[in-house]
Amino acid sequence: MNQDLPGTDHKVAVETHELSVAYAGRVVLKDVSLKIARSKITAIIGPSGCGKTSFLQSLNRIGDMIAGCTVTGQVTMDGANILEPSTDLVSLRRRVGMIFQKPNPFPLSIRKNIQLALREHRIGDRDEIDSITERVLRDVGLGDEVSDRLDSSALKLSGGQQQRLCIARALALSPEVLLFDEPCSALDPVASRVVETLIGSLRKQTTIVIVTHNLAQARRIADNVAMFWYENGTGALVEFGTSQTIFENPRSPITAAYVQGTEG
Amino acid sequence: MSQGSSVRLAESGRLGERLGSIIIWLVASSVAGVLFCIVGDLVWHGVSGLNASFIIDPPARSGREGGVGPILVSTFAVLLVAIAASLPVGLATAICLSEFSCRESRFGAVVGHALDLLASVPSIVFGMFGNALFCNLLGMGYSILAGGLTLACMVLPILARTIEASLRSVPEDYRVAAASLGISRTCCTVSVLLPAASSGIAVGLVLGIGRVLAETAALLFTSGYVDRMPRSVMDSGRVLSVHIYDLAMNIPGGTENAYTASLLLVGILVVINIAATLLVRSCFPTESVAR
Amino acid sequence: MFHWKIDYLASSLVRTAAVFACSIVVFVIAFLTREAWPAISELGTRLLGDESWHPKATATAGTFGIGPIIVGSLTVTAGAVAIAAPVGVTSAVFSEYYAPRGIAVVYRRLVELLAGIPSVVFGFWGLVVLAPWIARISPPGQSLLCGMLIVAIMILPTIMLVVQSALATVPRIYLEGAVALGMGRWSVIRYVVLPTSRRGIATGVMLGATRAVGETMAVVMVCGNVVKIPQSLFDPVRTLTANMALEMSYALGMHRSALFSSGLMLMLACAIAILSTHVWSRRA
Repeated sequence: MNQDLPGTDHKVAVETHELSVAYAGRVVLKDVSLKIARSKITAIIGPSGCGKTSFLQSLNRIGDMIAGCTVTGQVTMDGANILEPSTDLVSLRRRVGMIFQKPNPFPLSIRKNIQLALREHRIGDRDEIDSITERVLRDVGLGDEVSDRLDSSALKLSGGQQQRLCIARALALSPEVLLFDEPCSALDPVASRVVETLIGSLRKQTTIVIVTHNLAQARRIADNVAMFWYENGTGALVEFGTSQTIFENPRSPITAAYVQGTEG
Repeated sequence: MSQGSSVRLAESGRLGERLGSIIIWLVASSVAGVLFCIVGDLVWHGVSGLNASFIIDPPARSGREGGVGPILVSTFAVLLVAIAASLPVGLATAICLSEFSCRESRFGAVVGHALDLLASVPSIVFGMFGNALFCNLLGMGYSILAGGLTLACMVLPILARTIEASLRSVPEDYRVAAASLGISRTCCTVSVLLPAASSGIAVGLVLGIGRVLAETAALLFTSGYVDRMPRSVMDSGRVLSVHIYDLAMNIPGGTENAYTASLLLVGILVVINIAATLLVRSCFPTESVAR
Repeated sequence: MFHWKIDYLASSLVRTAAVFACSIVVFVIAFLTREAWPAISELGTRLLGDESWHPKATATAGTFGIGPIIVGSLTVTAGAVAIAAPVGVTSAVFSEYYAPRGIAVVYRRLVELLAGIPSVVFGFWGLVVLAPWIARISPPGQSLLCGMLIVAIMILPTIMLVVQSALATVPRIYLEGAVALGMGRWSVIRYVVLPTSRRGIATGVMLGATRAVGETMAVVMVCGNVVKIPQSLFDPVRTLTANMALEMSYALGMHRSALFSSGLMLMLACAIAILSTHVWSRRA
């Protein structure tokens, strides 16, 4: 199943080896081995229930919060397997940020949303924290929209703005990898397009893994695409390649049918 | 809440149906009638005596005349001691039950059962316990401190359970978001969850305050009967509800002032209750009626 | 388990608080037992066997039969529950199915207000209003009947609020199914709603009964407090709680210990009732 990374001249940010995920003994994802290229956007596509989100949740071990969830195999970052129990989860999550399906800003002010984690990780002094806040808000295009109301509640923002705030919040920690779990599926089409463009522009700063249902979106922004499918309730990797290969010249008939919309 | 969610049931014209309706409306209106009877009676007899001097003055001739000034001071002193002692423990217990390792664990279940058990203890039994532990063994005698600590034990389960419930109702999203940013549980609880649950915590606090102010039996032999102005928490102090009891039972001719004191006590409780309702409504506009 | 040092600290802190909170209930039982022990060990079955309650500070000087007092507690509780249960269930049905929306909200607020009135105020009202009314039928007025009525009013809100929340969880499809069969409102309630929510009703009644048996102030003020097995509704009666409230302040030696043992009995009875209700309603 181990498929070579297309375009091997790029460095690898994260590599998974025979990664499997089970909930309470039921295997939902089996033996996924792939390499996520640094400073590229890797999209994960496939029908609901094929383990895309479980895969994503293994990369920052947020799945640990779900009782009964067990992850086996290897996830290598900088030569270390992060699935080892000894992994420092705090620093892992600083290095691997995550954006969720539903925007989930804290019920605090916009400023506090960004600064809470910076303060917790003791990053910089007051001035530095303020300049980071300003920078990440500008990066996500919220600079002008909210500059005059940094101290009002983040819950008063629109859905799209909330999602961009969550991205800013994650960017503030300068993560090496950013995971997006269907970040646009709870947004209206206009907001969705804004967030999508933003994600596309972030590849300069960081490595991105995005789970999406939206094939057109994957086609527009992804450099590499991993196609997941399920058999008997267990998800698996079917095909992994450049965006061009997957969408225009897939090797697997399942992928071909899926990207043409005849299956899934 | 009720009619909004349930199916509208139509009346059929049969005799039994109509009889059922009549009985139900009769019972319901007689319940409302009893309430109006009691409250109306209190207002009718008590309102004429309720004025600033009643609230400020000390009682005279064993309470037949004069006001309840020192008694109100004792009441609020007992309240302060009870809340100051029970709130930190209740808050910490609630956090333990909803946020840390006790959640869904055997330990958490045991703590929950113990709290339910504590909540079922009749207040007079708390009074006897307080008398034996605080007044006798710890040598506090009849004092505001002993009374307040006794009531602290009594309201602890109410505080812990309501705060736990409001923490649990905070969406899981916030906890996941905090974890994904590498934020500690402690920081997440203090900076995000407690503020998000603040209105529920306030409601729990108000319920606890209501329980303390209404309590009589547990204070009869812990904080005592002395109706002078207390000078410290080690003094015995008579609270408002004990004052009403004493006037009604032991002081011939005390009825008039007992009415006024009862009206005052019910008034304070109603104001606190309304404040709590408004608080919930302002924070959770849609859930306010569902409580 | 945790990845921050502060989480270990905070966790042990809140755990300590939780252990402390649980230990209070152990303390309560321990202290009651400690104080009650002389009476339990020396009087033993005399607590139930002695024909009357004339306690003295030493075991030989007095008689310590709390039998009539237990009967007093049981009759007041039974009577109060017998009145409050049907009225409470009816009120809940009214508020859930009969009252127009506005009235239902107001009605619920009224019942909550009733729940918030302190027991000493109920007792006071019973003493100065209800007891004289009853005395006109048959003196002295402060009687078993007066106690039953006052306690019934006090536990009514508990029963109604618990039952109403049980009614609200009756599945919609049951109701729709019944309505589709052309059943009228009364029949739907009688044959569908009430049978479906009988667990909730039983829970409400149990909670009400527990409150009734532990109720003190109102009972002290309206029941007359004579230690005697009542022969009619108009006889005065003394309950366990009233007995403790009246005698604790001057009781010494064996007398005090006997009071504590009755308190211990009361507490254990309430604890068993509450725990079994919880276990039972959770199994549903």
